[in-house]
Amino acid sequence: MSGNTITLDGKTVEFAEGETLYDVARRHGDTVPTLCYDDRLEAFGACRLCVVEVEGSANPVASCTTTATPGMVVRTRTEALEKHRKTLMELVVSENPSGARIDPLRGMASQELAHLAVRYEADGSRFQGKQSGRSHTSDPNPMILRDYDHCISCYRCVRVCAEQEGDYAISVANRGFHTQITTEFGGFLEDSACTFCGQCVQTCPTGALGDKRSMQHQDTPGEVERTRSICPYCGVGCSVDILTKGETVVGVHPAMDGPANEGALCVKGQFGWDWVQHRDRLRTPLVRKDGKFVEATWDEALDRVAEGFAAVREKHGRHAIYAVASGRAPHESAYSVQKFIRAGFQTNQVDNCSRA
Amino acid sequence: MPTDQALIDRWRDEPAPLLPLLHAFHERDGYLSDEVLRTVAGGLRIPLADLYGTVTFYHHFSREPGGRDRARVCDGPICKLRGCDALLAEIDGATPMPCAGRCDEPVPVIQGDRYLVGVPGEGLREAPTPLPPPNPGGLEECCFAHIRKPDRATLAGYRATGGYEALTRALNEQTPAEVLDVVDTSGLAGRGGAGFPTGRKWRAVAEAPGGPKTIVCNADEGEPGCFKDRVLMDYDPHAVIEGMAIAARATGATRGFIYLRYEYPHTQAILERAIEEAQEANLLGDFQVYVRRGAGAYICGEETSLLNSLEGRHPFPRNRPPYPVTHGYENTPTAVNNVETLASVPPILARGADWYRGLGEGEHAGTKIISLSGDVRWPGNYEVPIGFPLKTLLFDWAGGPEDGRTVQAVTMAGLSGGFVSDLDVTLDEPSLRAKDSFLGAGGVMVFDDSRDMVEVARQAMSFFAHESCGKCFPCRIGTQRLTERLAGEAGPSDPEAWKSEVHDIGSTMAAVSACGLGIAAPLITESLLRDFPEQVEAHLK
Repeated sequence: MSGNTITLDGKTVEFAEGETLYDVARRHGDTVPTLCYDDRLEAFGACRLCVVEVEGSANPVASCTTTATPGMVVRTRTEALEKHRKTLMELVVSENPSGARIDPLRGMASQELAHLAVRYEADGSRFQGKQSGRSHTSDPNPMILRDYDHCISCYRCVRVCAEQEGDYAISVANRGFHTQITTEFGGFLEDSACTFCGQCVQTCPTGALGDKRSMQHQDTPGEVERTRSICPYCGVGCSVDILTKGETVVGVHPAMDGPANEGALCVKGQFGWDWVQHRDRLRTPLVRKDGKFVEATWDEALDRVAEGFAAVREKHGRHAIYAVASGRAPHESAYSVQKFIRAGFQTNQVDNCSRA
Repeated sequence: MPTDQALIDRWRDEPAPLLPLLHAFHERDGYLSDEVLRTVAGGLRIPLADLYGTVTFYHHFSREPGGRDRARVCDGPICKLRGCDALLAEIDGATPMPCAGRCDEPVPVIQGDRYLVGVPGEGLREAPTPLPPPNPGGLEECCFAHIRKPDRATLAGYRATGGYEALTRALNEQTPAEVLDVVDTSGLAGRGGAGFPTGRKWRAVAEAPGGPKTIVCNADEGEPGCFKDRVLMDYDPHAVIEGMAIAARATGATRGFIYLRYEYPHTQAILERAIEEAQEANLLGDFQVYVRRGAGAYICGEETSLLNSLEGRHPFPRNRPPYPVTHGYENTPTAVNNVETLASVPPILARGADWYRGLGEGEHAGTKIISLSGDVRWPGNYEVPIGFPLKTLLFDWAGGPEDGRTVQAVTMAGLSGGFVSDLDVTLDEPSLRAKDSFLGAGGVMVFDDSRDMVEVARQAMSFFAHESCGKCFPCRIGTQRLTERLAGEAGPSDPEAWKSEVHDIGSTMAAVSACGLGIAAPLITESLLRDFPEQVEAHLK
């Protein structure tokens, strides 16, 4: 018998060095419930839903924070465990507004609480009492909804902000039942260190944090479809899933398995997609006539551009011209730009915007 | 008045600088302003949101001008019996604070750095910590053997009975292994509540790779009804310091911290003076000891929260393993020991392991200080042999309740052990665990038959709810829901449904909470349901 095995619900299974019981169980198809776990983050051990029984341990242990060791005998779904999980779910549901439907467009993980509540038949009828969250729906930023009435203090948002983004914009104020997710001095996000990357929104398991842009499409008819793509903004090449309803883009989710981003995005990739169908989006070239922009043909517009460049070169010399290529442009276009600038204008002043 | 920069410069390069730096600003300004938090965050390079969140965690840091000097009046379980509510009403601007560890002579009031005692209608006075009464059984003591002697807190007074000789011998004549052997054989175990064998803990630190190694004295005596560490530190500070230095010798540690609870401001001065005396007399060698003052958080008595607090992090408990013996202060091997445990070490080394073992009753090794308070004639700290009969302590030593009253219940482990109403127990873990309780840190509060036990339970649970750190779900929500039910604010009115909810919450908290707070808190409700079902039913009508 090889060294690295444990007994998992009666079956002998192998584990890799350093794997947690949660990892092992999930790899073997076990649906151990959790609310505070996010693959990208250090295991935190807060929700206690993932507790499992380990022979020789008096109390169940959190599987997400317990490393597998050879010979462990682990049980993941005994009657006693399921009873504790049900009680935990009933407690969690009791601190939230009852019966509220959370639209999936709020965020990627926003249905986790609702799904577990159904699984454990936690309907809010037991353990009634005070509710803990205090919403900041007045936060005026146009991107992140802070609807903390639905917050269950799993701290995934705080941890993703610190561990993945390195922003440390949000933290935990007070303690116990009075715990609140906060910024410095409890202010608005725009006055904090927040970069609006939106990753707190995407990890929130209850929809307490929501994508305001996406939520504008809650009532758009149609089923949400997901299409894997690459973020069009910069040169990093983050993988994204574009959410659509019919012909309408209704949101973007980071791809957890994206090799460049592993679930991360920045403000542009996360929230900068609504220009695609924006009513102000230009559909033909515009040229200025008598101080006003008017629609024009491409030939007309390009002639005006050429005239402008020629005039500048005439008056100020060739080094008065500087080109910045868009990071969204493919290699071929970027090559053309530098060729155009170097060969056409005889200057080396060319750069690219992907320096964020 | 020191400038911002002077304070930052004073602390920035010290070990564990955040708490002392915050205290320095708190003292200078009387509160912690937004501007100060910005300065501290910049000075120590801590994210501002983190610092703000962490400051709000501690209930004694005031964020309002003048807040630091406003009176805080203890409303712990015993002070509730002694008129703290009237006192709160008498003092302008006073706010309640959880048990401040003076149940033997209530009601403690903290005003800035002043530690006062108040009696309703009689105002406030300064009063020294009460000494332990002379041992009523004439039994030999370990920690208290010399504590009642005048000048015991001075170096000369301490050395008069052979103080620091055990350390000097450990440093010059014994190997660390020999010191570990004595502590192992003595049977000494953690006196802060967990009861882990001290020798084993030290050995694990000694054997752990990495360094520098650290000794932390846990003086965050936050358990309601516990006031033993205060008397040890106030009257025998050198015993604690010598114990730490011996621990350092045994483990190879080079630095030590005493993490002192906020509520003992006078004790900080006593400890710092004693450390200075010992260092000036060159008794501690290379071992550096620092005092760090907490800021009001019961959870910081939990060793991993304490370590996070020392490091300036949010004081949530850490996940274990790894344990502090390998990954403690700044992830280096660390022994965290209670004050009483450390104070027991010098006499054990001086008089031998067998002497200490022999102090216990029968099979039990050593002694335990019991902080006894509530409805007894002579409350106070009593050092008893482990295994001592509770009834002897209550009735023969402490005089029992007032005439005409009987003892309805006592608490154990302060509040954490819940209620025990069957008094035929001995003060040791096996006896008490058989009654679904535990000895813990040794706080025993007595409630006579005039007391409303549901109300006592409500106060207890409301304390746990106030002190729950908010990290794990069962404790954060469970303590709140149990408090609401005991207060009659929420929950079913049908007794069976009420009991079922209370029991279900309690058993899940006890089984799956992340630390001792959540695991122990439901002992209050479980013992209430077990011992006082008729009071529960009456409360529900």
